[in-house]
Amino acid sequence: MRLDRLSGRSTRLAGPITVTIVLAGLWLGDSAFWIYNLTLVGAYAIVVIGLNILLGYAGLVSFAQTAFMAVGGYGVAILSVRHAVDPWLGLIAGMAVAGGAAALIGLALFRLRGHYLTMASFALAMGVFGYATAAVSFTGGSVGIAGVPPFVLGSFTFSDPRHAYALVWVLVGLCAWAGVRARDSHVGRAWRTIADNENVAASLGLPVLRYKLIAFVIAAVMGALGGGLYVDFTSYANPELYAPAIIVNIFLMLFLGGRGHTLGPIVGAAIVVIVPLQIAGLSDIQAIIFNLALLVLILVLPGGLLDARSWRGLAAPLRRLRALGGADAQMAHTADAELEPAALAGRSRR
Amino acid sequence: MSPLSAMSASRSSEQTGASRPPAALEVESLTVRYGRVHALTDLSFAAAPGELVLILGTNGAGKSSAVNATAGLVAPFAGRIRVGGRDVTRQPAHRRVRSGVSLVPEGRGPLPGISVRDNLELGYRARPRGKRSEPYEDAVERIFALFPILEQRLKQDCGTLSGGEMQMLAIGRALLADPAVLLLDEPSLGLAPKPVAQVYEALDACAASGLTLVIIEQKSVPLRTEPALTMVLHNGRVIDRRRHARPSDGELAELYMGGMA
Repeated sequence: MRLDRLSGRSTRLAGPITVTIVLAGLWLGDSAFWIYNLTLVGAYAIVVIGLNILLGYAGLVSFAQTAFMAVGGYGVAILSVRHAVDPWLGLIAGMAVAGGAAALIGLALFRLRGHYLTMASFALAMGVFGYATAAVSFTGGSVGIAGVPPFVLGSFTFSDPRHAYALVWVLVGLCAWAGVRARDSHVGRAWRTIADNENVAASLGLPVLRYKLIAFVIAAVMGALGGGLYVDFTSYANPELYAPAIIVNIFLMLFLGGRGHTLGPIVGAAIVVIVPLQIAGLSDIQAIIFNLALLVLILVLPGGLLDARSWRGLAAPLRRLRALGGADAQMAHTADAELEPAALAGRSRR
Repeated sequence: MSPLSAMSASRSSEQTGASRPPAALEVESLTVRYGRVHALTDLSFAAAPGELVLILGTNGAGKSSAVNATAGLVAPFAGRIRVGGRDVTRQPAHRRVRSGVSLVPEGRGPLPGISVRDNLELGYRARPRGKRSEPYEDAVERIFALFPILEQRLKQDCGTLSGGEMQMLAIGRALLADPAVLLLDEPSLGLAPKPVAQVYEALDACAASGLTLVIIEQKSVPLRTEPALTMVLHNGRVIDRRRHARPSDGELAELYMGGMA
């Protein structure tokens, strides 16, 4: 039977681009700033790749990703610091607990649809954040848990930031690859069908709940992986890593990069982590400038930076302006008000 | 020879075991409620293999609730549903497809971003493994015989199809699951007279091939096959029931208007 692959160009590029990023790290050499921050970008990218599977492929809007990050982060921190367990095992334990919890919670959560599902997932994220802050004896409360030891592989310790960098980006590559494989499989097609129309999916014999759970569990495991790596590399876990603002950031990463696009999470994570650091000199107005820039980006490219259709949409008003050409200024002035923001943005790009 | 005869032949051979074949679809006292809203009350009917059942009614009469409950998308408040004699009332929707009930949902269920080819394949993959002895290529060939336009549109994103083409795709997709009973929720909704005629021509062919059909519509439709049973629903109840006869447009108007009093 011939199977149509739904893959795009970004699929084939995912591997080479990951390799390039890892190699670029070697070239960046001892720029501690870049190595450190790009490592954090990688950890977030893994979390967002998970969200992309859930939201970009299966169409499920869940705010629970930070809850699973917390499971991964505290899994590494509590097991390695308090119980002297190998951080790898802590990481794997965190991922396993997150996956298992997601399967159980999902059974209850997916009785809800649409906005109700989203609100319930938000409650889950808020609950975990509240618990992490309040359960002082278990999580260290708002003080958190410091001194998380680095990963060790045989006699090799990932203590050098460059090693951590290489490790996280190899894992980003693996997660991106896994996401693409899932998307191009029958599971991915089922996700798209469910995202389009759940009732049609069920009428076509697709076990909707099972496919939703698969997406939710994969997202949770990736969330725990990213959360665990983040805590290990910064050697510190605290509730602020899973605060409501972080949920917003994670969604921003996905929507800026381009939901449904393989590389979207990576590009989005890079922008949300790096750009505020680059414009830190603006101090007071930094947040305003950054968020204004985000607003404009979302308005101009609603599908995200990697969404070709959004870029083409950007070109259309430009063409229309050009078609007006030498026509009198009044006509341009009375142009459709709806087109104005895009048209203005288009003009400023030239 | 009808394009669908192979499907029906394989099915009827399955049913010759019993002395009197069980009804292809049997709905007994089906009641659907959404909270305090009583959408459908006490609907009962049976369709013998190859029979066509037409259910008419205005918006909110309970037609969609009836087919959605039959397809398993809505849990009934009370009542039983049997397919080929087997009780499927508790079966979830995706398993009911394997039991032989396929639904062409209201609004045709487009899946934008998914090609016509992939849509058809999704339909074929809904077959239980035992029914896949007929290769996909042969099965889809019969769909193309029914709806030639689909073959020309294969590579197209189904979001770019016209309403009529999408309806044909939705029916083709459902037929590829090799159902014993095909449920159609307002197949003429929002279509111009010409595509409506095309769709109903295909449904006549399906009926002639021995497929059991349940069609719900708001108004009379260009169906050549005489329905074995025609029911008119109003406020969730059957207000008119005829075997081998359809109410005329005038009678239908009377029923709709009169029922409001």
